[in-house]
Amino acid sequence: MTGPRTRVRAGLAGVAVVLALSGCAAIENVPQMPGPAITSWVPSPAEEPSPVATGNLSPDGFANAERMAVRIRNVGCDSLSTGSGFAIDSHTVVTNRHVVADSAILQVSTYDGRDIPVSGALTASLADLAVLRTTEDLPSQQQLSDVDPKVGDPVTVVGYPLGGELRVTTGAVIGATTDPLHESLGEVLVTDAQVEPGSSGSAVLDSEGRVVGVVYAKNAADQSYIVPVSTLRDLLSDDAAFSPVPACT
Amino acid sequence: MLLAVTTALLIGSTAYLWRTSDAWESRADDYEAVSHDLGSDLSDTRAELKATTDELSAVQSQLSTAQARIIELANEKAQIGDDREAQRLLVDYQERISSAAGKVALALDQCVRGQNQLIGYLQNAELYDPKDLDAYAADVQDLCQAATDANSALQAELSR
Repeated sequence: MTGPRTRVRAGLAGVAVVLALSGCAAIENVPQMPGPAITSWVPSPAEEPSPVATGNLSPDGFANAERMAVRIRNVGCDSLSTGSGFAIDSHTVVTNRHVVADSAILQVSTYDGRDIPVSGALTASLADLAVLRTTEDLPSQQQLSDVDPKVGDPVTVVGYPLGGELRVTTGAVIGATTDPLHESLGEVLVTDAQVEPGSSGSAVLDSEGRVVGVVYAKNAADQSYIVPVSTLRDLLSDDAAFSPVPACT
Repeated sequence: MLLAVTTALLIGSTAYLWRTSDAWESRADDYEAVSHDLGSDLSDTRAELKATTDELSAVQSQLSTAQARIIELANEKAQIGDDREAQRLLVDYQERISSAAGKVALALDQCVRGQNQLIGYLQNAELYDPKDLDAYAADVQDLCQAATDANSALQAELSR
């Protein structure tokens, strides 16, 4: 430490000589004594961000799209079938008419295996749509989109293909057509999202997670047909559009 | 005189610069000590962050595994429910078949017994009033028709 200090002092002495000889012409450049020492080196912490909404977070880590999906078991007089559905409020499930047709008992279960009792079922005559009412709260519900998806828009289908595990598949809208099954008035949409028997009634979601349609059929080219959300909205807003499901005989 | 003034200036300047140099050196030592402390804190914080990040990754992996298992269990429960309902439907079907078959058997037994009785009566027809024989034959016919109807109901159940 003494070597550098000595050199510094010698240098300073030289500078002093130069300053003295130059008549202190550059007095403003003379080294100043250090000012007050800095004592706070760590900036004060910024205000910690706190979540203002839960968004799509859920208590168990499942996405809202999975939590609102339900599996429907249709126990008929002589047959058993399964389908899919989704919650639009705490006690209402939307599915297909053919999923609940000819039923003696309808049973709904959630993504985590809970059984939700069904108090009633209504079907629409103008589209392959049906509504189930439950006596207990559904885990979550999904918002309906205000507009139908356009050709090229990505879509996500959440349901129970083949009556098996909950599945999420993706695709895109590839066109619109008249209903090949003559179940719905107006046009239906065609997507390349893969569905299977049992996927009927699955929610079709847009990139924002809003419902833009309901799966109700597929064709031999593995394309799926969906009832657009505008049709669903129209029917839900019309109390006379739905009537009770006749029981099987 | 000039030499004395110059010497005095030089001495004063040298003394001032000496003190300034000492002050800055002391300040540099202080800041170096602070920087070591901050570096140590930063190192500790980075280590804690890495440990927390690793722990978070492990928790995320566990959550994914738990979610997959929940979906599996929900599916297993659903399949068991399907099997239960299918078994119940099968039991109901078998009960209907058994009931229909029992009715067929009972009706056939009554039909056969009636026909045997009628054959016995007809073998000694002269002992009975023809009107009574005709009435009994009609009753036997009704029993046999009931057997036929029961069999039709059984066949209908079998074809469902």
